[in-house]
Amino acid sequence: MYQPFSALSEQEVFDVCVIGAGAAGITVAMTLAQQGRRVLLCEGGEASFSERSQALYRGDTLGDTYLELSSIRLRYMGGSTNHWGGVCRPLDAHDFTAKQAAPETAWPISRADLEPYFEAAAALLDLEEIAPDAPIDGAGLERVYFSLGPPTRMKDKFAATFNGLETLTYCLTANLVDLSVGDGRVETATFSDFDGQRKTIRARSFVLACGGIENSRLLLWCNAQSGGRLVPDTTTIGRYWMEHPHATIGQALLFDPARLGLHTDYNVYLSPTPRAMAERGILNCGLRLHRMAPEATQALAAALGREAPGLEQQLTQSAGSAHGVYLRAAWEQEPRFDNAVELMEERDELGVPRSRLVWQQSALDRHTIRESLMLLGEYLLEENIGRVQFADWLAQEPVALPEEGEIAGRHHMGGTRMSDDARRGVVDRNCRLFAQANMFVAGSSVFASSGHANPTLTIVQLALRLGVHLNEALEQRRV
Amino acid sequence: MPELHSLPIDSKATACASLKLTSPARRALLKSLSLGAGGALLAGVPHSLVQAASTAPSLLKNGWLLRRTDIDGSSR
Repeated sequence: MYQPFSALSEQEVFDVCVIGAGAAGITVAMTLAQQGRRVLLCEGGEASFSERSQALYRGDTLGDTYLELSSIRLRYMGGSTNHWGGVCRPLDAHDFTAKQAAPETAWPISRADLEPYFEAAAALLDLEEIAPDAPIDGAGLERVYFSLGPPTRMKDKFAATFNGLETLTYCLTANLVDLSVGDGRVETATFSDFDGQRKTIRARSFVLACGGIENSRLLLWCNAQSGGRLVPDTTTIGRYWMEHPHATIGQALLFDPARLGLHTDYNVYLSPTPRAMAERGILNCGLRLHRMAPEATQALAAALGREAPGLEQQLTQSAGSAHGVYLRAAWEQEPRFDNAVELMEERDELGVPRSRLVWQQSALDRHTIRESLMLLGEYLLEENIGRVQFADWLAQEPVALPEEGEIAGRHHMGGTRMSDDARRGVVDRNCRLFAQANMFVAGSSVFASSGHANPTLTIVQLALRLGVHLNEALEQRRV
Repeated sequence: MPELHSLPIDSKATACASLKLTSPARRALLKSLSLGAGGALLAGVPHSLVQAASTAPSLLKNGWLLRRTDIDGSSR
């Protein structure tokens, strides 16, 4: 049921206070409320878009070209599910392991820990069936599949649930400004509305679910206010932040499109196999092949013919069946200590320091995309089934990252990294702050590494898992 | 060699580039370092050395990844 911010009780003790109503927060809140827990879901924004709420997302970026922080996420009920594209795929099993090129990719959990939550997450997000991956003989590549939407708008889909669950109370314009820490426990959370009215909420447990940048920002701020008692070891807080770099990486002419399934499908997705990743010293990458219109294919074939006279016969023979493809990619970024969310001096309207995002692509990130395309190019060359043309920025040495275009996927991961070691992460394998018995973090900020898959499905799987864990902890009075 | 294996990718390539080896030896070294041709180029190994080391000689011409025979027109 909805409750206006001004009517929130400061006396009631909720079982769980969930801070943030995006994909993660809504999932955790509903999971627990449906099991009879008294849940308060606090959304900082309003029921729909408002400039005054969105303005709290303004911040600064430092490093490689990135996107304006207030334009890449939405701050109202439903969060960024209000504008996401609906593309989903689980992380690969090997994404949870220590990759040869960057051992920091290891998670403390495996994909098997999330698989029990796949079906429920798929139902929440209305996923299509995702076909099993299919290795391509001799290529070092496998064909991979996604659920391609349409996107679920959680605010709309679950409006009736929010209003019908007696155990769930939700409010708007409740912006977290402080967490008070007792003896290894968070005692209260203080919220402010846009008029400066404050409410201090009590709960047996708290879940921070404000997104892949805000989780770090708010923990950094609340930790500073607590004198470092919230997160005593601050080594990694805000750090190991990651994106999925996105770019147009080139084009290709396929003499034999059937070899890659492009004779029937207009879009095909490929990834390096784990073995190819190890052999080439790269991380994960999603290569996206989009079939061109016939006119564009003809122009591409003519361009290739000018560069490669020796292919004249080949081009003539395949003129009727060849397909040109545009090549795009989204790739895994190396988890690096230096990529981080920091607090600025400048504060927002509610007095909380704004975010500064320090983001750079490493030599390994550049190597990953270059070598992934080289893998495809060499396969086409060796089998003589096509030729790849690298985009100008990728053909250069060293690679000069594009400063325009997609840049990245608006996938904000890391910052409150999951680990079994408090010196190497912010939350444990159950998403609990190491130093607090009853404070948890939900969302992609807990990712230890990112693979190449869009993150929402994994976010929801983790949130469902947290809901089950927290319900058990409440049952056993561990929180 | 075990020491080289433990190096970051850039350092591997730099170390490889600094060695005065014949083509077969360099090919074997690159293979043993699990460093593909693209990675070696990216990390600064001279193009001529990478081509010499590659098991499937190829080159980039105006961005196209081609065989030499694609360009000079000789039959395959």
